[in-house]
Amino acid sequence: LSHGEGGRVMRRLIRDRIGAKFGDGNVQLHSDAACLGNLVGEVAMTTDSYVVSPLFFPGGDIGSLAVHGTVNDLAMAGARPLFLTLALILEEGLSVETLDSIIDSIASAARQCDVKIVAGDTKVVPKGAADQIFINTTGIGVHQHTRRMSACQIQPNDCLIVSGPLARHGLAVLAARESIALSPPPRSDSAPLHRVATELLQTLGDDLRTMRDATRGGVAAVLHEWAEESEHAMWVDESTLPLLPESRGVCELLGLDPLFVANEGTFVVAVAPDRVDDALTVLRSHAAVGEPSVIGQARRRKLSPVLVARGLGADQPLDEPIAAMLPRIC
Amino acid sequence: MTITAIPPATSTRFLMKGLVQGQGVRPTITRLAAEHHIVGSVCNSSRGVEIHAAAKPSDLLAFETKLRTRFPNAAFAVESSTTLSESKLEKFEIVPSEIGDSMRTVVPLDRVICGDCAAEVRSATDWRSDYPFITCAICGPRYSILRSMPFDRNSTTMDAFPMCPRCKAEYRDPSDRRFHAQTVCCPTCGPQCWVTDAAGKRLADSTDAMRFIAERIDEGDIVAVKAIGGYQLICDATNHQTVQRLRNRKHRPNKPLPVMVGDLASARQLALVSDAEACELQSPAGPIVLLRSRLNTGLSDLISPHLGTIGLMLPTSALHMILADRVGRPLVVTSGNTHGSPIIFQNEMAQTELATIAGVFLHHDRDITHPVDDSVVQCICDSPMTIRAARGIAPITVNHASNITRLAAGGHQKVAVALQTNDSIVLGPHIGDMESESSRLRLTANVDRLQVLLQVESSAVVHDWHPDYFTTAWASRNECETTSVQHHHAHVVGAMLEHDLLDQAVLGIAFDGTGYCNDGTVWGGEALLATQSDFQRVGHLRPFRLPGGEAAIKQPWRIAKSLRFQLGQSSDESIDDAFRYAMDHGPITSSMGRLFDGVAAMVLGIESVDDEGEAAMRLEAVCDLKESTSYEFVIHTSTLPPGGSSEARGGQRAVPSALALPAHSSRPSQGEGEVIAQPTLLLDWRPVLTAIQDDLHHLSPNRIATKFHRAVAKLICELASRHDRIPCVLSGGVFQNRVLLEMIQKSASQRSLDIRLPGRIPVNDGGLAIGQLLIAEGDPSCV
Ligand SMILES: [Fe+3]
Ligand SMILES: [Mg+2]
Ligand SMILES: [Zn+2]
Ligand SMILES: [Zn+2]
Repeated sequence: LSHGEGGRVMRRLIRDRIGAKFGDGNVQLHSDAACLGNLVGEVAMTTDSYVVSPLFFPGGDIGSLAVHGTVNDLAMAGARPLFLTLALILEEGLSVETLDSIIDSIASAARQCDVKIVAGDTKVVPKGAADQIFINTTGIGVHQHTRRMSACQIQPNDCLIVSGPLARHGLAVLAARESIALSPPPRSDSAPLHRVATELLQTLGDDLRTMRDATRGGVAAVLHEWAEESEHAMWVDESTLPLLPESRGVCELLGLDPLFVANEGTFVVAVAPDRVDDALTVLRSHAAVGEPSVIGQARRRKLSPVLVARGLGADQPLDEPIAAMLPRIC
Repeated sequence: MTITAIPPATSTRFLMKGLVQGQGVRPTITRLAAEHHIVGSVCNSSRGVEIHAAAKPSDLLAFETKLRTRFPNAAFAVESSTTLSESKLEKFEIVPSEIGDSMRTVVPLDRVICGDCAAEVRSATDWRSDYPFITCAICGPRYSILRSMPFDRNSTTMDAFPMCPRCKAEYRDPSDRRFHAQTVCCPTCGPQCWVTDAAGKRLADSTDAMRFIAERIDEGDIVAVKAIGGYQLICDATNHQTVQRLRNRKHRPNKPLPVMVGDLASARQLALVSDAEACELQSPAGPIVLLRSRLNTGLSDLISPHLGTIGLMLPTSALHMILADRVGRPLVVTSGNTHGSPIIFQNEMAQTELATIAGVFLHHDRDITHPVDDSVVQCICDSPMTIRAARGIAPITVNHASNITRLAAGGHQKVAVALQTNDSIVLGPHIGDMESESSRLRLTANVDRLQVLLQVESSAVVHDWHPDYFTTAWASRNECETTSVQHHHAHVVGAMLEHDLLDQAVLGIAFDGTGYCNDGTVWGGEALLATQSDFQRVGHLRPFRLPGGEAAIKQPWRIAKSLRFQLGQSSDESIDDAFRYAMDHGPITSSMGRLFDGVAAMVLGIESVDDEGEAAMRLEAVCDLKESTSYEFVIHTSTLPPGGSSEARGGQRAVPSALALPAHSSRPSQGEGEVIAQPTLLLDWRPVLTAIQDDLHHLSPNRIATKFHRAVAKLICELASRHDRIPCVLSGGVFQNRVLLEMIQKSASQRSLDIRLPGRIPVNDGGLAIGQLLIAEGDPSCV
């Protein structure tokens, strides 16, 4: 691809290499604005930009990530995802084969998520102005339920459940980027969550306090946000954190706390204590999600927002570091 | 009582400051007054101890001389002197304390049981025989039961125990040892103890309680005992299984356990005790003294594994004395807490929190207001140095006036806070590491209690530069003005106060584990040219990476690998991709403590440690002093970045550019007392490590360890000799190392170098808060 191609070349690119892949009813190539028809229910909207290096990693690529990430943001808000827009910023020199396989991946992820890609934009920028490809997706969905997810609904003693093994996405990308040979190589957990989210909401109603995908900043970031919004403390028992043995080894070696490593399909749920089993049943029925685990509970706050019980010692505050990795031990 | 009044000629008002209240000051003065036919009064006031004395001039002079010799440490002032024709006064009396807005008196410290009280406890006939809470005017709890200054019974938790007529009579009798003893009590009117099981069921009361507990210890149980400053876990130190059980239950596999013995003679059976060490053991503070242990003592070898030392203490109260007498064997006496938590001091809390560790509890009903652990000291070349300032030692009060009241928050580990009052700096007791919720809560509570005690509300707060210390976040949360200071500068300024060098520049050697610097690296092997307000980094250890960050501190093999990598010796071992990533992204440090860890890992094969000082302590312990040679650090006098392309050799990757550190100053020097720019010395450890690698094949670890210690001592002397016109002070956790300090002391005296060893202010981060206060005070921008 080269920067500054004429309009005809770009049109053809978009029509043949992008639009065609999404099939009928998707990108409305011939209109300036997509028509979404009449939506029933309250409309939810979200946007996210995706930059990841490398573009392809075990378990996913930037294309599937751009779909799952935005779909999951809608799903976690309790909305049913319907439409996506797709904006591509391509660095001059990106190979057409690479673009093709990313677009294929976007198309298949969108199909899997039952969303239509209704509008798009493509720009090619000079070499160095972007890193191969940046993607932005905006998602639109509708709420089918009156419940809105908010951490303010968390009460002391509510249980915290994580849907599956932690840290898979972050480690997969890290290992691929740094060419750290591991066997088995860590695989990203990137996956759509709209079905499991809908079922949780239907099953638990008000007893589902809130849920959130544990993306950047990992489970730790979710817990800190919830603690801040609810003004309670989030308490976690380290021994209950689901972690694949290979992830545990890598985290140990690299000195990473899996609570801080990013996920792309693993999410945290806060539920009323007496509905834990129901929540676990729903989570287990969605095999792609992984094996869920109750990792802790909300508690009345004494001092620290997030606490971890490690081993048999006293509860440790889980601080969000500012000077990443600079030890405090003297 | 009435002293026959000779018509006095002179009336004088004295003021004594800096005295320790509650140690029989006023009764002593009263007795001296009686000896010299003085009439008048003495009282504790907000200004100090005020004495009003009237007598013949000659008697008054003799009295004044006696006062000065009896209280050599007090600041003594004659406030007014008038000639009288006659006095209406007829006697000398202690008048009740007047309470002012600021307390210029010193917080009284907890005192171990005195010889007289001990004799009464052991006597079969004394009416306080076997009473665990016996005290007198010179011994007993003080700070730990005090709510606010000054020290009077009604400001302590002894106010719950009204004196019986018999005790009251003693309290009022100037000829009695318990004259005006604020803690006087007896089995009738004083605190009582009782025994419960883990579920809280009462098993025994009063005297029977002591017999019961002693029997249970004898049978191999672990008991939780409410002592002076909090609960202690006590068991038979000769019972291997019990000690193992204690270690398992406390989740404390290796950290040495202190041992209490009944008397000095028993201490000598377990350890080598010098005169200076005997003095510390028997001091009224009653600390744990680190001693060189003897072999085959009958103690469980789990007491202090891998170390040639043992922490011993003598009974600190009548309660401990009775236990020691009854059991008749050395006892493990360790802080009553769960792993990572501060010492527990409330009955209900102990009953719930310690139930997983102790089978039996000895409670009592005297409340503790200020929880305080046992202190730890060691003697270096016959002078004591504090390792942990707690019961009997803290709060440490240093006369130092300031017009701003300020709080210093300390560091992240071994935290103790300090408070600047109008006329002194007060360093609170050891709290613990800020890694647990409970120790953070304890810190905030301690700060409140200290301010109530001293009746000072701080108007400013000072903390460390490290953005991720809890104390930093906590200090920033306060409403008042905050200042931050560099970690090692604070270490050095603390040492400057210790040696009374605040008015000049010093060479500060700050060797510790980790301290933050805003250049993005972790400091810890620093030579600072420092004044109270400013510093310039004039030397530092050659930087290296900590692969995996904090993981490298728990697993020193990582440091060893990182060091070997910098030597260009990585080819003979597999550095896999993951480790290479951990190394490339690990923080860069110039820490001497971490260098000790790396060397310990190499020489002793230590894979992982439970406690950050463990590897270095084990390296110190194996030293064989018969080895008289030394490795050599190379000192590069250059401001050139270390490890540039000129140093890159075959097979060795160039050191990342971030390892090239510019000279660093806390701020541009200005005006008076400025530090003159000096070239930065790079202290290169690579020749040391290369030599160690060679020696590993044919020299014992003991000799290698000694040669390494000598190299560090030599390095310090070399630095001091390059700055020999100013004193050199040592600070930082590395200087808890006795072998190292004795080597430094020896070569410093041979070479006539002015190197000051650590003393009363804890050399580790426990003393940091004092340096923080002084730097904030000296900083023109924070006045
Ligand atoms: Fe330090
Ligand atoms: Mg997102
Ligand atoms: Zn006494
Ligand atoms: Zn009495």
